Amino acid sequence: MNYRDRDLQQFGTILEPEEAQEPILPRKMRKVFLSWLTEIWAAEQLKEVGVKPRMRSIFGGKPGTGKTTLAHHLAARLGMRMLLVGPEKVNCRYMGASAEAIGELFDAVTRYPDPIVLFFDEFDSVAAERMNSGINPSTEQDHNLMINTLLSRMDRYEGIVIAASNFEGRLDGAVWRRFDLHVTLPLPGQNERIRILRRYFAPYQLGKQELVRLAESFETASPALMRQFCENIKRNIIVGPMANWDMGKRATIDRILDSTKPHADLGNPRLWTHKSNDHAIQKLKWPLSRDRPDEDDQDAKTPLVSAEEMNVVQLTHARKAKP
Amino acid sequence: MTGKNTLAGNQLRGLIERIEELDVKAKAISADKKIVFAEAKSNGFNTIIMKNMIKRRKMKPHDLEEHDNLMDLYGHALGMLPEPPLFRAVGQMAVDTKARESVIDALRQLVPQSGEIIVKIGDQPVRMTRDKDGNAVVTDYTEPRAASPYTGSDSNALRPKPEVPDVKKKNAKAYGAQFYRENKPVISNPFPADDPRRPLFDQGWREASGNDGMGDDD
Repeated sequence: MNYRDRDLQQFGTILEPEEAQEPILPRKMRKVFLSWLTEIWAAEQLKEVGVKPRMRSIFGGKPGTGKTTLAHHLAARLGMRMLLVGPEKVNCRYMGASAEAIGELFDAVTRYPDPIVLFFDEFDSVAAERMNSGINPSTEQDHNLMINTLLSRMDRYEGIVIAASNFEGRLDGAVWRRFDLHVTLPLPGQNERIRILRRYFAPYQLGKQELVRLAESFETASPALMRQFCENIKRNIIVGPMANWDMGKRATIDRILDSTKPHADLGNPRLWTHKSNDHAIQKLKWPLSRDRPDEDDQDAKTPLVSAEEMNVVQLTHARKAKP
Repeated sequence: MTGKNTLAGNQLRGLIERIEELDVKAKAISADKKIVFAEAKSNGFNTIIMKNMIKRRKMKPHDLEEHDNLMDLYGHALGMLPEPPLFRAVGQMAVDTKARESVIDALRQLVPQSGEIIVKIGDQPVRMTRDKDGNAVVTDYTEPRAASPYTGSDSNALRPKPEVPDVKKKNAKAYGAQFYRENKPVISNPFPADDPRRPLFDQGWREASGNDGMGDDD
């Protein structure tokens, strides 16, 4: 580490491009970001017609929808490192110190010899709306000073700035307008959920039908929650036998579901209601295997409903058949 | 306690009398010690040094080592100890060939069985090893040139810059496609951020893969 890095690290963490992951997003969103990248790359051509590429973007969306992962991926695509600014590093306790920290942050980023993406996580805690209630005038004045500094520094800064917030509504209006690209990241749909599960279950391989069923049971879940679930299963597989835990399918799944909760702002996925009785879990092959399952065979041999459920189906049909 | 013939009174007297007896014996022993020292002195030994040696022999080996090191350290700090000959010779190695040879000779004995000593003083560093018969071998040592992790004249010395491949701009797209075929991710783009070949590489990778580099298509 050199002194330039230390200069930046007092404001947060530097993430390297090589550490970035692919985001998992719906196709529509991906198009937006690809066109943004293309725009940044076309800066020279845009200059000829007197415009600049958009350099500031703000990502909204529920907690755990992959805002940081996406920003990191975009930085890596551009071949830049990313400074993940921690809100605690710029919010200082003394009067005027927060504004000073914002100024120093932009100075440090400008001094840095390589281009770098400036990423503000939990931006609402830095750029909350300016206040004028008069209840606590000195605190309000200090906060307003910080926002004004942020505005003036952002105007002069030419690098890429990305901000992420779960509460876009709380952001200061003028700060919000300084961003040219406003994107709200949606919760993953069925296709994205399948891809997320496949990624985080690796190296364990699930059959296609198993993934589809599991993804359905995760409806309304955030990527972060799905990741937690998959990683906890992997942890259990490794640690369970050492700790003499019951490694049966139901016991393991219930243990994980009891210790992982969906965020209160998001819906409760079906899996958390039915737990190990869920259809997707009943059909899940256990223990998980690292070999690629022979999907066609598996689906041909095991009907989608169990024998018990078949009886129910037959009975219903029988009832319907009756006039 | 009410009287001198009580049980506790008798016990206490017993204890005190035993200690008085021991005192008498200790006096006799220290008188004997004085006689031994007198005998040593009459034979020409320095009794102060002897007492010092007895103290040192009583100490545990690591306490003794620590004590000696501290004595040396404090002695040096106060300028009380002369510079040890080896150190003086090492200091002169750069200018005096004789000193250089004497140091090398002194260090020969210290060469480990499976290791080496490299002395980098003066113009020519030397390396001392042992051959298979255990004899110390002294050879001239040339330091391997460390590849600088920082390319060019970047005085800010940032993280090591990855090597930029020598690919012409018109071939950058094909280079990206080649990376895709080699199963490398799109972010393994080797061109720096401001290089015009970077977007071309990205484009080539995307065209070859048929997706946007943000995960497989459904």
